[in-house]
Amino acid sequence: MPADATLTSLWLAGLTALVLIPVGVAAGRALAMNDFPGKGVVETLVLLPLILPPTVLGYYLLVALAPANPIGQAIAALFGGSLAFTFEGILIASLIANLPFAIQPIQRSFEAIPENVREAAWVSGLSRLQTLWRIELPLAWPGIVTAAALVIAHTLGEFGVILMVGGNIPGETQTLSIAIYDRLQAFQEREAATISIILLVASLAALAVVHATTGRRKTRGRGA
Amino acid sequence: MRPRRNAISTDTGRWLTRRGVLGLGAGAAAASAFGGRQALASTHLTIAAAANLRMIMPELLASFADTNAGMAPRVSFGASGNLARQIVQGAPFDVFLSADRARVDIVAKQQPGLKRATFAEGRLALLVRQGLRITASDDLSGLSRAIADGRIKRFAIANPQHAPFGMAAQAALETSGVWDGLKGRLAFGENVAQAAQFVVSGNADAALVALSLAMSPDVASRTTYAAVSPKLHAPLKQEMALIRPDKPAADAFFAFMLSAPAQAILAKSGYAGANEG
Repeated sequence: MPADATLTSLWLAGLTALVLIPVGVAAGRALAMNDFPGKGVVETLVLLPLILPPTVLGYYLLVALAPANPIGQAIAALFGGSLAFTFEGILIASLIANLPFAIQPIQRSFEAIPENVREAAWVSGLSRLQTLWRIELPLAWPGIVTAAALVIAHTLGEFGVILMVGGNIPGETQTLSIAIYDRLQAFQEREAATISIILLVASLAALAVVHATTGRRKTRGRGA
Repeated sequence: MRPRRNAISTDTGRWLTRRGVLGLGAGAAAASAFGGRQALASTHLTIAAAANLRMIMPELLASFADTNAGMAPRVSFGASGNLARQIVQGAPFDVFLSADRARVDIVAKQQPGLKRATFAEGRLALLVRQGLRITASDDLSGLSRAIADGRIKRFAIANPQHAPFGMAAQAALETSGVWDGLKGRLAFGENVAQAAQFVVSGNADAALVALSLAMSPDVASRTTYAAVSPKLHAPLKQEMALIRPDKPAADAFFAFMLSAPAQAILAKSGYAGANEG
């Protein structure tokens, strides 16, 4: 099993989840609890990466990161070099591609919290922050766990945009999904098969986590 | 009125850009801080190599390590056209081993004064899947008969758009008059190694690929092959370029590829030497 690709994949999945889960909680809660003009547009934009072909995202990222472009120049000045074909580059791609997986489940779980539960908390003397921490987050927890599992599983599996933005550089941008493609072309079917089984098991594990947490929410709902 | 509106929209644009950069910066800074990956990257020698070199690269790297220990080279394989595009777009490669001259020209256009040299001449081979018999001849006449009697349902070559071995394969098929007969039966590999993989896995009946791939034990044990006459296509003069002359390891590898040990490995692996042909 390729240690380099495993490490790259785990870093990418871990960092993507670490950055996106707080974003998902903030954005998901804001979308669930507020109505504002243009909300439909925001929700559409959040969902876009789910439908958008990864190659389209890859194309626009390459255009944006290119040294010929003002954004690319600003980034190059900031980091001392272009981010295309670097780990940081595929991290940016991964953050955008995973936005819907982070926000959607969390938004749904905040929407499922009845308004009167929060009102009851305030009447009982809890501040808004305490209400968030002690009432809302525990109730939204299944959505947050689901989001984390989906983000990690989806990051491990992402292929098109990573290949386009990252190239196929071992130890830098070669993730496990890319390694399958790479090993097959090196006529190392056995190694490709090993990595494939690992990713299959990881996907099943992520779905099991989702199933277990959403299942628990249902029974709890019935009891209440 | 118009200038004012423009001023406002430019301001907004700048603000958005700055915000965007800050956002990206936070994420990337986190990535760099976690594990000091940047430092790791700068000590590595990163080579971009055409896919035809895939199977002999381990041997070349082992020989390089004999005289240059501790440089930990890592190699990214791909079609030369894609690798050249990645280099132009800022990919962190130190040396580029191309399958032809034209792809090095693309890089040279951006980096005037680029140090470059021919390190080998590539050759084509007809690769045939297990269980299918095609009379081996270097002029592809056996292939022509196999196409005519319907034994070839899928034929693979590397994508001629960005893979030099794909271009050479197309030229050889055209020269020998079988290109039109293959219409509708062609499968394009993203690079020449993928084209070979199509035959190894049995998904294509035959392919025109790099001789070096066909000769490698992993491929030869599961296929049959015959070298193709180099007269059927323009010579595949394989050039390399020193992308990062400031890196001693890159300079050392560039010199190594022209040295006797490297040239001996290439010569026994299906390449004509740098100065032959």
